[in-house]
Amino acid sequence: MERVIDEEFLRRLGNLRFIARRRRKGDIFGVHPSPRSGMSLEFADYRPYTPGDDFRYVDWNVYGRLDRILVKRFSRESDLPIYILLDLSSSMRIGTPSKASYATHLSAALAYLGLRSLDRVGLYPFTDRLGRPIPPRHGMGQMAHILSALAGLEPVGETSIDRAAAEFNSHSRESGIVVLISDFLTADSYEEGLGRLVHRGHEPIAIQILAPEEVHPSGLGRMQLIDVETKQRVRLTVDRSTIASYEKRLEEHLRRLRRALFERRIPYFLALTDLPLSRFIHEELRRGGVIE
Amino acid sequence: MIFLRPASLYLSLLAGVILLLYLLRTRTGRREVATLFLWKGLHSGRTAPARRLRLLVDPLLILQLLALLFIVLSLAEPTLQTGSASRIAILIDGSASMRTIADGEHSRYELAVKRAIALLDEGRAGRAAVISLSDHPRILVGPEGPRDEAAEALASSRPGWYADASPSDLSRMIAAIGGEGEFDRAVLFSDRPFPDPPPFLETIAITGGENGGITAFTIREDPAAGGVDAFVRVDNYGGEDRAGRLRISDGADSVEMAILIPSGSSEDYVIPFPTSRSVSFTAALEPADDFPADDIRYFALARPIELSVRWVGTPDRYLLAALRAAVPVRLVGEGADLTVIYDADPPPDVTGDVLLVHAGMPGIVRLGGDGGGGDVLALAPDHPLLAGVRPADLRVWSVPFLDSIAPGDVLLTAAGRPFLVEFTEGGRRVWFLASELAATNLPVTVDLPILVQNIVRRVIRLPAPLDYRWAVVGAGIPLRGSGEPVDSVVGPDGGPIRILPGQAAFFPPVPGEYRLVTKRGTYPVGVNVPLSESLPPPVIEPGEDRVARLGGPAGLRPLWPILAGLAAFLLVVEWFAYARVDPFQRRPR
Repeated sequence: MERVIDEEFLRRLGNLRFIARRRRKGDIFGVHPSPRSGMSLEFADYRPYTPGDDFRYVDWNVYGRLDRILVKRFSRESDLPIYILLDLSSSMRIGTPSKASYATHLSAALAYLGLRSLDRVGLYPFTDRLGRPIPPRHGMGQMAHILSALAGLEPVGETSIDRAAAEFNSHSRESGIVVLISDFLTADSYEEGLGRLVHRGHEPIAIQILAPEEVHPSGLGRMQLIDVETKQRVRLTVDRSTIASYEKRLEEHLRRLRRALFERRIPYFLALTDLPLSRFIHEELRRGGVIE
Repeated sequence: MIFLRPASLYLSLLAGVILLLYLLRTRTGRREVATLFLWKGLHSGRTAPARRLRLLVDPLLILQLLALLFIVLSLAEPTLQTGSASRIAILIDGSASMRTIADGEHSRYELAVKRAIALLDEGRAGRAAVISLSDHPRILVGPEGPRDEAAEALASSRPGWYADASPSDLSRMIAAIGGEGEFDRAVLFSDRPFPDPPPFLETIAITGGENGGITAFTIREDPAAGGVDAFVRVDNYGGEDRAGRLRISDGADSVEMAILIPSGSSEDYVIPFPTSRSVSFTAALEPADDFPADDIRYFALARPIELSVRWVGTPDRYLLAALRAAVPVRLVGEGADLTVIYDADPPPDVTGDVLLVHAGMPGIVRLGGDGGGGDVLALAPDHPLLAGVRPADLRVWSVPFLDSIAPGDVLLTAAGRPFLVEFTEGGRRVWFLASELAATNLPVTVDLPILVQNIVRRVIRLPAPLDYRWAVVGAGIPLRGSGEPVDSVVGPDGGPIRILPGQAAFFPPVPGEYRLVTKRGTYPVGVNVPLSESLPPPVIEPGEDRVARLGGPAGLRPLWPILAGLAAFLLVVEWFAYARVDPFQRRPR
């Protein structure tokens, strides 16, 4: 696999960071809010003073104006594990550039965002089962591990999101943001896997990668279609009506996927491989409230 | 519209290769997809069952075929004729000298034809007239002839055996095809360009080949022995010495002799045939050179026809022999065809034509005293009386002064005084030879019998055989007149040549021995290639050709740039179209 990421691309990512929708309990101070109040960096609220409170948290300015003793409350900010689940089944080889290449670059970029925000980031490649994971850690040393792993990955095998999600849950010790990157082009069920992630307390984000020629196929004539995962073959004479039927069937598949994700409150993003990656991150993910 | 290179149209067969490649490419395509469940069960589209029908809807194939079509058409150089088409007049020298082998393999004429056809191709002429130019010029293709017809006519044409055309012949032929204004160009291919060609005429010189030959051949009867003497002159115009054999034959006997002629010189030979009574003689050089036509000459001795001669004055055996060489002579006392007055006063009853040798004649010429000799100059070298005579070879030691002389044609002078003069008086001719033969070198030169022969030709106009013992190809031989009429002619190959009733003359087309048949007998005529054809062509420096290459002839508009541009445009469109084709459908080129 070609060089995954370069300096210029990282520079353009700027000061973006992930946004967690729910507060997490963090072990250390990160930039994500923790429900535990106390000494932290971010002011949260006031409450009446009760004996025993630390005088350092009494807001004397308010006492001077209101003649009431109020104690400042702070949100404790903590780090958040970010799990990147990367589909590397054979179907990701399709496209120019391939969906796998696009997904790899995206994974690297998101990993960089997380690590730069002092979050722990882990990489979990999967096909029909979970591959060799890189457990979440923080620090730029982890970035080197992730890049090295990404460079050595090749798309192979079939896809099973359900089984991969089940195995992932058994590996992850704590809940976090789960970025699920896949083409979701599988006839198998994926709803169960998505449900497992949510029930485990994760905050999944679904990013679907598709090649433009998968959305709007071109080329007419007699075809022998080969499933890159199962190697099954179908002979077909493709004309305009055939393509229209395909597009209709694909739209139905995507509608079903979006419904499944919506029901589980999982944000969904579609990335075509002809869309520049930086544009997808800056516009699509930012607009979707995943990063800020 | 015409195609200047129609053979290029065969390149359109490449369309078959393109179609074949497409047939191979239209096999079922393979395409990898992420999953089949989106495709399975889809209604399969309809497609043409035959590959050839599927080809029809491939826009790339159509673009490629169109591009090929335009490329092939542009290579064929289609040309649109607008307005008056470009016209060219090709004048090709058809004289005998063009038969000279120029490069060891091809004759000058063949080279000229080759270059003329190349000129037609280069010039992209629409119309072309072709003229074979000689003193018997012919129009091979008229002024409206298509270019292809002109090329075919050139390729199938052959040179004649005639002499070179004169400027008047050229003017006449140009006028016959409409005049110089009718053509954009007029180009002459010749080995002997006109010394002062018309300004509109471009000349391409065709040279090459070594030549020499027999430039004089005559037979003189030997009055003493009863046989004949053959007089032969051989010239070598080539750049190398010529060694070979000269063979003289009278049909029954022949004499051979080895000869060696240095380059640029000539040799005279006198070969006696003491017992010959033949009337036909040939002289041949072996081996032949690049122009063999003048390596053999024919001479006919028309012995059966007599010339009645009245001799007045001192007998001269050399002059009499020369007369007898030219014609059988019968000496008479009166009523003669020719009266020879040799160093004497003329009698009062002179009949016929008169030859004055060192003699005067009242009203014509009166002699004074003899003076010294001097150089002989020709004042009218083209006069028929001097045909074949080389005045520079003549030496005169004594020439008389003249007290009076009537108006006449002074042909030769010696020491500045008239030496040979021709007068016309009433219905007869009078020739005046100023000096006795003994005061000149005429008796020992070949010029005397030639000169006398020329005189006899002018004395006896008919019947024809006498006047044309040495005839040349293309020169008319009279068949009617005051002499004995000719009933038929037999050619050199023994076949009869048709003579129409009342036909006045006959023009022999090829060299050889002809026979004129009259009621009284058969008379041979030796017909030879004109002497002028043996002469070397003038030295022509390379690059002297006055030829301007044709650019874009008026009236012809080439279409190939438009077609080539269309082909390039189609190829660009095809390239862009190919770039937009689904990558799955692409095949490596």
